[in-house]
Amino acid sequence: MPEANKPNSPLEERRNTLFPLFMPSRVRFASYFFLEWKLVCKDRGAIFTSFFLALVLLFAFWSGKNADLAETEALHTAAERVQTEWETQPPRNPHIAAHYGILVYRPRAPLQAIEPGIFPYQGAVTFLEAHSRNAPILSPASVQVAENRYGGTRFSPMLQVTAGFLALVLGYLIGAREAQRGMSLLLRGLGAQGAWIIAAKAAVTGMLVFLAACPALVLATFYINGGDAILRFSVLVISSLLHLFILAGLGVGAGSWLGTARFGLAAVAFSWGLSVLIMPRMLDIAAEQLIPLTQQQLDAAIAADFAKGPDGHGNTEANEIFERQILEQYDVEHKEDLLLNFDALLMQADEEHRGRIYDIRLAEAETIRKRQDRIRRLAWVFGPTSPMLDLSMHLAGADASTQLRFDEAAEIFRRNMISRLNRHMAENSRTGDWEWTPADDYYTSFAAFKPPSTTLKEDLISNFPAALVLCLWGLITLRILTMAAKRLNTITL
Amino acid sequence: MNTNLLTLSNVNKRYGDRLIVDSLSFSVAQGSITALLGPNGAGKTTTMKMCAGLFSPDSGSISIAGFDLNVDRRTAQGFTTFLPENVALYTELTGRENLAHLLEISTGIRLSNSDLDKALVVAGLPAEAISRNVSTYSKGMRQKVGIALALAKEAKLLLLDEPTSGLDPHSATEFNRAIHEVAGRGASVLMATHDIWRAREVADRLLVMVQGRLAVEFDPKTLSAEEIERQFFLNVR
Amino acid sequence: MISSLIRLDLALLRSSRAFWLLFVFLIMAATFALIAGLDWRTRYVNAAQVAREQAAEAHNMLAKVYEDLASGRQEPSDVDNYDGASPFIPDPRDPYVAGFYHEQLAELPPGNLLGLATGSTELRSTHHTIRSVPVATLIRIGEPAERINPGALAAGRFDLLAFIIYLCPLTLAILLFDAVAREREGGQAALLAGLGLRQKELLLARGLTRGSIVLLMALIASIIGLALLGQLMSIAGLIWLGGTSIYLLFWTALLLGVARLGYGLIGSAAIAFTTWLVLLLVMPGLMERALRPSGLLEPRIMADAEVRKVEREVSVDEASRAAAKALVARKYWQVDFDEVPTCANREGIVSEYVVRRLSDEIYTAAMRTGREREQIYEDRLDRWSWLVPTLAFRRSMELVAGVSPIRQRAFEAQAIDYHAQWRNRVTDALFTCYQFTRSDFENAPQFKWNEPLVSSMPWGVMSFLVVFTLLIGRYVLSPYPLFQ
Repeated sequence: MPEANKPNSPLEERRNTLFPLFMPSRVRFASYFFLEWKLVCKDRGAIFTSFFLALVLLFAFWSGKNADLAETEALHTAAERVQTEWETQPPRNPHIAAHYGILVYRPRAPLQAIEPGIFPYQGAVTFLEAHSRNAPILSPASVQVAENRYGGTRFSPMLQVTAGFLALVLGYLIGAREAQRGMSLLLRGLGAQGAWIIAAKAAVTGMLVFLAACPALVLATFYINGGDAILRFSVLVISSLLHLFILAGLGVGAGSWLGTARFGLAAVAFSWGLSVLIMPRMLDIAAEQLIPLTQQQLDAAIAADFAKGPDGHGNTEANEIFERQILEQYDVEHKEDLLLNFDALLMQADEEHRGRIYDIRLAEAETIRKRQDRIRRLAWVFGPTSPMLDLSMHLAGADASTQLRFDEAAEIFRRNMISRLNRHMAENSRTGDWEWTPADDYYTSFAAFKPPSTTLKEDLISNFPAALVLCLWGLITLRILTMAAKRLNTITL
Repeated sequence: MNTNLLTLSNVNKRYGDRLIVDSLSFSVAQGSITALLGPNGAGKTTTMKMCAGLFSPDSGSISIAGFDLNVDRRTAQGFTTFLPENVALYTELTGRENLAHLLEISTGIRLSNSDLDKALVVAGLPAEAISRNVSTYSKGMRQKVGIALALAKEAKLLLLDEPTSGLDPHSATEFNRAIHEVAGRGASVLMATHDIWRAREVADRLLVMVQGRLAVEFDPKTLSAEEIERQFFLNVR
Repeated sequence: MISSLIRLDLALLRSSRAFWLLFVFLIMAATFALIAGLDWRTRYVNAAQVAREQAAEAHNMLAKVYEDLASGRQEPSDVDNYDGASPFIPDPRDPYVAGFYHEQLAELPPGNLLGLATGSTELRSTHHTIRSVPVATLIRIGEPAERINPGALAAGRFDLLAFIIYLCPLTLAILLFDAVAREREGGQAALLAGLGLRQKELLLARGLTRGSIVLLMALIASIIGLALLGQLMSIAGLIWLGGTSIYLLFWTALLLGVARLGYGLIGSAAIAFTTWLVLLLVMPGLMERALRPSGLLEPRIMADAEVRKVEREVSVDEASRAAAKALVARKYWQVDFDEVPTCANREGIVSEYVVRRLSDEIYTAAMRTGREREQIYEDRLDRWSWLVPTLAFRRSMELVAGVSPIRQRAFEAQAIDYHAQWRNRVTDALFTCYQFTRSDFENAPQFKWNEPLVSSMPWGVMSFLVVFTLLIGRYVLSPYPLFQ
């Protein structure tokens, strides 16, 4: 039996019904692709838009990179100087050193220059001291005179938002072209498959927008360095490419479907605005209303819990219980009889009590934040840009979980430092001896804060849902394109 | 007393280098039905649009009921109703609503529903269609709404561009009846068409345009059908 | 003619399901924006209330010490000879101790129209605890405590101002992009032109009908919001309503201008939505970034490291300590250190006080430098932001609503001044060996917020928008045939 007449297998039949894009065509796809490409190149509007986009993205990258360099430099210099000051501090009682404390500085996110994520809105410096788990402070946004939070000024958000919107609109215009000009019949008469026509349009649109992003992307590769940054950047580029092609595809699908409808493009643009700008913010508010918790409420709950345990500088009932326990444990009548410094033991008990409270309360807050995030993620249903923006933030390592990791690493560092200071004081001095100081070089034995390292694998796993939703949008787009292609075949035949 | 409702004097119109209408002069008498015939590209539609005041001639003058379109366009347009080849109405509104709004835009008059319905029925629109959305109308039905507009507006001059193209024989006959209804009420009709047979049936006077000029004029009452066809094809060849 | 066209347009809108969907969505969005904004105001007010309660608690603690002193029940701890073991009871009479424990609250009252706009109230602190100790308390203040979710904070709040700035123009773009193209492509243009209709009449009618629908919705939502805030007849309320009207008229004219360009349905839609995207999402951000000077945050980041350096030098090295003491005495007490009264020269305390004073200078200088940089930024924005009218409008409306970063910057400056005032009072008492009395404590000057004068920026921006609207209006209404 000749190859051409061989019947399709049931699997092939099913595949062809679902995705006629894969059906063999008499007209080569490439020919139609090049025709479509030529048409786009001759379209002054499309070329102007792409040029404008390329300039905007270049500027976004360049200005973002400069801002990032200045901030990173300041944080790095401050971290080094603060560590030097810690190591060279004058001989002082360890608990006084614990109050003197140290400041730790948030590490730079691997792709911070192109995607600042939530970092501008979260503190970058944490003051570590005894008794208290301080929140990070000095967020870059807190010193801005103008701060536009709709849209984005850094490269990646702009690539997803602006380029995404233009991909959608250009896709619509290119998709609607045949419907507008009534050329479908001619093309079909020449043997072009609807599937190829639609696929070529989507590919050309995505390609056009991606090419506009290329100058900035190429430039970015020279500035992305360190750790797994290049790998992250590559994944970001691939997912952005997928996102742009999804939007281009949705635009083409909608264009070929609604090309002649009066409100077609308006409906598409409105849906985009709704999914990217309005719904995420509405859902934020809904999440805050449904699962409410403010930092102040959290602080109040923590303070109330503190009062129930030992207080190193206070006079609580718990202090007396702790004292009785210690006296019993060491079998002495008075704390002054102890060979250890009771004050330091009390300080440590206070630390441990507070540490437990922090762990419990902050875990509760984190659970609430995650529940709020689940509501926020409903925005993913409305369009592919929301999950892409989340994915971009995660890939850049500038998301809430990175901030949390920094916060937790700082807290572990603080607890170790304070506990070491208290233990050293307890073991080497006697109760009431606040004048005691350790050896001159004691403070040099404390290693500097090492910021937590992020791994792409970890980030990818934790952000699998966003990637999955983006892929689902890819499949939905494919299905829409397939349906549009089928419709093109039906209408023109 | 001047009984000519429409008068074109030495009208010229050029699109770029192409002369579309070349020194055209003719007039349309009150109450008459005049057909402007000619092959494709003869300049019929351009002439009709100039008569409707959609754009001005490069030179020459067009006057309607004595008002020069170039000088007093609004007043002159008040006497006319122009129906393009494809009478596009607002498809989301009913026939009655379309008529009401278009009439109001044109004259500022707001008629009652019964008066609107009467005009539509007189124009030949089936009563059951009056309250239906125009999206369900055929071309002939849309044209009838246009004719109803002319009737309701009491237009002195009805300008029709290719009114019978695409109509089935029954609709075309219906259309003829509606045109006579308009003319019977004292209005003049000028219709551009390339359908010599249909024009011969309905018009009192046939004007043939070729390459923007008036080539020949017939009176269908005095010439036989065969003679008209012979003369027409001789001129447009 | 215009009224007939408006009636026709209303009939067309009434029969459009897409319009009703849009209309219902807009009402829902406006309601949501109002609820969200007012909820934010409640949070702001509650947060201030909690801060006031905390300040009152600190005040009551010292008041109790005074009462105990008066009744002889309990003696406070002697800071010069404190053993570190027993609980420390602060002595509010001692200026050195009072400097630590006597807390004052500097509070930024909510802006008149907070609730309609959020502005930067969720990015900058709205209250500070003021003590005489270094202003590190101002620098180290945590982020505003009303929101816990960083993702939501980064996204920004959807409030009535966002509704007016972003959603209303998007709706106008949807309603107006086809103001002419609809009739041109639908074929009605020939019929209408034959009836004597001109393009400018059609554009005007469309603008009046559709522009008014969106404007009315924005105004009704604003009036409800203003009424709920009790600001309906206030100057700020009236400027808000006027500003909203001018802004939406500007957008109506702009989109009619796009329609007037004469592209087809799809071309008009593409240009209208791209205009919206560029003016609202792209240009404001780019303009901000282009005008933003460097060094806004860096001085604050470096301040702590600087302070630690001074502290070490003064603590470790006797010569440095002496030099620091001499410097502080000369600079702030206008005497040589040797002339400091013995009662003021309390060993340990003075050294620490000197460090505190120097640290305060470093922190204050860092904040001053930061604010100078912010001022440069602000000046640049004032000078150039009119190039992006949407950015200028947002800044103006935030200013009118009392949620502008400029207002919060002024608050920070006033808080620093108040801190300096309180610190100097403590310094003087310390130097003259003065002991604070209960009366001093009760009558300590309170922080008074002085509302800065609203700059002329809103008027400038509004005037610019009006001129721009008139210019586009002139283009829109210039003669052009409806049908060719």
